[in-house]
Parts: sequence; structure tokens; C-alpha cells
Amino acid sequence: MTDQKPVTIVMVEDDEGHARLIEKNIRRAGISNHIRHFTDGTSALEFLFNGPDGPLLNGPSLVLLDLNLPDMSGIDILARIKAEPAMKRMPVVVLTTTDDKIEIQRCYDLGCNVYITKPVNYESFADAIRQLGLFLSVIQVPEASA
Amino acid sequence: MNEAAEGARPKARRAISQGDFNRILTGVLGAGVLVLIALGAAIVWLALKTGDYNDWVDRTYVAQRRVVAFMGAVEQAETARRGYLLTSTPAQLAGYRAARAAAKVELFQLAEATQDNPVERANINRIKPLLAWKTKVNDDSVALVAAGRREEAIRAFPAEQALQPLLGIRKVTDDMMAEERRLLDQRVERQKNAVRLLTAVGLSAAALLGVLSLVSMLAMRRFAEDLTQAQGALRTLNQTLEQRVEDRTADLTRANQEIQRFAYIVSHDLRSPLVNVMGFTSELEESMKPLRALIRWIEERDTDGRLPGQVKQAVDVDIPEAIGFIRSSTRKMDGLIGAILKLSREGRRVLHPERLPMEPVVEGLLSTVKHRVDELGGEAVIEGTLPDVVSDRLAVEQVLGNLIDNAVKYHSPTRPLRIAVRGSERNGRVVYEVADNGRGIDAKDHERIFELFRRSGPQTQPGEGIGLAHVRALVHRLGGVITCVSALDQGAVFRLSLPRVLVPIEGLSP
Repeated sequence: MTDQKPVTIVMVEDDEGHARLIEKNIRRAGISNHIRHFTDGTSALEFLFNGPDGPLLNGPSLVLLDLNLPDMSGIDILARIKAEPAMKRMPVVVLTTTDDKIEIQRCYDLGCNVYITKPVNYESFADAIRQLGLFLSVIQVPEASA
Repeated sequence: MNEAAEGARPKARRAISQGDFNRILTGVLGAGVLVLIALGAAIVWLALKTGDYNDWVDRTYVAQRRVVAFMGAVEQAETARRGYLLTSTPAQLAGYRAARAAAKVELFQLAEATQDNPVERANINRIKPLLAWKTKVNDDSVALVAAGRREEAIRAFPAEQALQPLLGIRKVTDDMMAEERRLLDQRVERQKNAVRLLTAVGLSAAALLGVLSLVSMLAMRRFAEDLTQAQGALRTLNQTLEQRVEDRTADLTRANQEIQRFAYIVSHDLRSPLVNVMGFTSELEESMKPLRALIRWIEERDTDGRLPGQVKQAVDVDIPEAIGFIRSSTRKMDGLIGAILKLSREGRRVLHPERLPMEPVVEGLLSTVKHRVDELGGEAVIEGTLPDVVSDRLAVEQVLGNLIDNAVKYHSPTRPLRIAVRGSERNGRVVYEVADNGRGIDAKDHERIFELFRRSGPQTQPGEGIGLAHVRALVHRLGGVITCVSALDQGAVFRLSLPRVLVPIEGLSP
């Protein structure tokens, strides 16, 4: 992404298949950053806040967040991240199947940076992820401010 | 809330109904009228009777007067005879003669007056010989004086038996007076009895009327109490009604929201695995490309036919076919889930009631199918006038548009298509009908066609069985009802009944 420290992509996605498809398509867009994948909210939060190589203690990160998680709503994770001064500048991309207007508004209210609805049609889905990858390749991620 | 409502309802009590009350009142009034009629009859009867009694009493008095007059005449004759014996004047003689004649006349009249009484008739018969005797004695004595033999007559006076018939007559007239007194007493007694009877009748009638008025008063009071109670119950019911409507609306809203939430979650959660199925199918297809290239490469070099036929078959036919079926099925499933999602979204849309000029609205809808109708050589018209409605424009257009689309879609190939849209208004509701002469719907499917993913008849037209389910969901949200009247090959009429003015229920739309 930049010439600074490599950005870690933290992917919180309970569906292994989705995770795999997202990873494949991001890679196809030419993004080679390290991707950390978590399938539930608890372990994702543990990594974000306490992980020895997590964003709080280690270099810049970007979060790809699904809202429908087995143990909590992605919105809770979003709120926790944006409430933590050291992490609130970290970009959070909500990538989910929910296209409910109210949910979308809530996410932006809480400080989410980008909200993307997963298209069901695979061509559109692959396309969207590839474009996200292109987008990720140009955005600037702030240094972790720990 | 239900308990509160039950509590507010009055305990079941034996209440006088309007009908009972009317019957009681009519009965009481009828009885009162009968009593009054009876009383009037009794009074009239007694008045007539009293008149009779008075007649009879009068006759008694007349008889008594006659007795006295007769007795007077007899005594007068005796007095005049004695006077003539003493003075021998012609005036005394004339007085005697007059009294003698008067006595005869009086007796005759007395007989007349007492003719109806056998006792008195007997008395009269007793008097007659006595009077004749007495008259003879008197006449003899007067004749002696007239012949100038006065002394002889005076001498004969003490000896003569003139006093005896007189005493007899006095005795009989006393008897007659007693008889008349007895009759008078008897008649007076009878009249008294009649008056007593009348008094008794009057008193009992008064008592009866009193009882009747008491009964009617009680009935009226009871009725009035019941009325007051019913009014109270009605008031309570009215007061609780609003609360109950609110509660029901809240229940309904909750149920509606739950269903929508459920539909949303289901469709959403079903979609997630579908993304994988579709995604990995594509991945599989992508992976097939190098594989197929490899097979081609081998084929070109495989001159001695060592490549098994099944491998070629699998790569060229079986796998692409399987992938094709997976794709079409997932696409179909996606469509179905999309339909559920659409329904659930439609349920969440806020309705905006506005006045809809229905004729332009329906004309607009008909014009969108005009091209297809023309192709089929048919016609689509508005019959008569359509009443306007205050409702949600989008929902009404979707409902009618769907019905019109169906009418075109399911036309009968054997006759030119005709679609008629009709409207009427009654009891605060408007009714619109979309009638066609198409292939019709079997009666057993009239309910089924409104269910999600259900279709009827030969599946010659594309569709997923969503349209009418959507229509019914919309109609219900608009507070309406939709029904279908049809028979196979007889065309179909879809009847849509809507409230003339849509009042959106607060909270039903999130």
C-alpha cells in the first residue's frame, strides 16, 4: 500500500467460504498484504486489543468486518474499535450481506469508513471485492497511534 | 388487558328486555281498562236499578196516600152522618153524600194502586163488604132523618152497629199501611244493598287499579334501572374499547414486525451460503479451463487411444452439465429469496395515503400492457366510472398492475382477449374488479394462488408464484380484501375491496 510498514488486513468473517472468496479476489486485485482471518467476534476482539501482533501493539491495520457473526454483531466490534482512542482512526470496511438502510446508517454513525453489501451474484461479488482490493491499494492508512 | 375488559363487562343478570317490558305494560294497561269498564257497567246497572227502586218506593207512597185518603173519606162520611143526625141541615146531608161518594171513588183508586200486590188485593176484598155494610147502616140512619123520624134515628144510634164495620175498616187499613211500610222497608233495604254492592265494586276496582299501577310502576322502574345499567356498561365498553383497539394494534404491530424480521433474517441467512455456492461454482468453472486445455493437449498427443473415454466425457459433458444445473438452481433460489426479501421490504415501506384519481391511474396501467394486448388482438377497457380512493399510490398501482398483467399473461388462446376494469362504491369502501375472459382458475386453487410460490394450471408461462402473494400482502396492508371468482376456461374476476380512505395504523410501518 505505502512505503511505510506493511498494513495488516484483519478480516472478521464467520463464513469460511466467503472468507476464502474474499481473499482470492483481493489477491487477484494484486493485494499481497498479510490477511489475518477470524471467524468469530470474541477472538477478533482479543486479537485487536491484546494480540502481540495486533493493531494496538503493532503497525497499521485495516479491518474487513462482517456484521452477522455467531457470537456478536459486527456493530459491537465496530463500536469497540471506534471507542478506543488508539484505534479509532483505523479504517473499518463493513462487508456484509445486510443491505438494511437502518443498519447502514448505524454503521456510518458509529464511524465505519466504508460499507459494502456483498452481491449474491458471484460475478458482481468478485467484481466488488476486486474493486475493493484496488481501493485498498490506494488508500492511506494512518500509523497506529499507540 | 383481556381480563380488565372482562371485568368491565357487567355480570349476566336477568334483565327485562324491551319486549318483556312492552308485554307487561300492555297487560297491566289492558287489565286496568277492563276493570274500569266493569266499574262503569256496575255503576250504570246500579243507576238503572236505583231508578226502579225509586219507582217502587213512589208507588208505595202513592198506595199509602190512597189508604189515608180512603180512610179520610170513610171518617168524613161518618162525621157528616152524625152531624146530620144532630142538626138535620141540608148542608150536612150534602156533606154526607159527597163523602159517601168519595169513599167509593177512593176505594176504587186504592184498589188500582195496590193491584199488583196480592196481600193488598185480599185486604181490599176484606174492605169491600165492610164498606157496603157501613154504607147501608149510614144510609138507613140518614133516610130516617130525612123522613122526619130524627128521634127514632137518634134513639137507634147507640144500638145500631154502625161502629162495627168502621172498626173493621180501620183494622184493614192499618193492615194495609203495615203492608206498605213492610214493602217500603224491603225496597229501601234492597237499595241499600245495591249501594253497598256498588261501594264494594268501587273499592275492589280501586284496589285492583292500585295493584295494577303498582305493578306497572315496578316494571317501569326495573326497566329504567336496566336501561341505566346498560348505558353504564356501554359507557365502560366505549371507554375500554379505545384501550383495546390500541392494545390490539400494538399486538398486531408486534406480530407484523416479527414476521418481517423473520422474513428478513431467513432471506438474509439463506443468501449467505448461496454466495458460496455461486462463488465456488465459478471458481470450479475457472479451474476447468486449464483442465480442459490439458485434456486437449493430451488428446493431440494420444495417438494410440490411451486416454479413457470417461475422462473426456467427464471434462467435456458431465462437469459442465453439473455446473449448469448448480448455476440455474442457485439462480432460481436467489430469485425466490429475493422475492421473500422484496415482500418483507414492501411490508416495511411507509404508506403515504393520497387522493388517487382512479380513471387516469388505471388508464396508465392499461397503457403499459396495450402493446401486448394489441398483439393478441384483444382489448383492455374501463367499464363505467371508477370511484376515487384515498390510498397509497404505489401499492394500488402495484396491485392493479399485477392483476392486469396476469389477465394478459393467462389469456385464452381460443378467443380474443378482453380485460375490463370496473368500480363501485358502497358502505365507505370502494370495490374494483379486474375481469378477463382468459383461461380461468380452478375453484380449488382460488385460495392457493395467493400463497407464495404457488401457481395454478398448466405451467406455460414463466413465473415464480410471487405476484399474487405480493398483491395480497399489499392489499392487507391497505386494509383491503382481495377475492377471486373464476372457473376453468371461464375467465377470472379479481375483486379488490379497499377502504375509501386509508388510515395508516401508527407503528405498523417501522
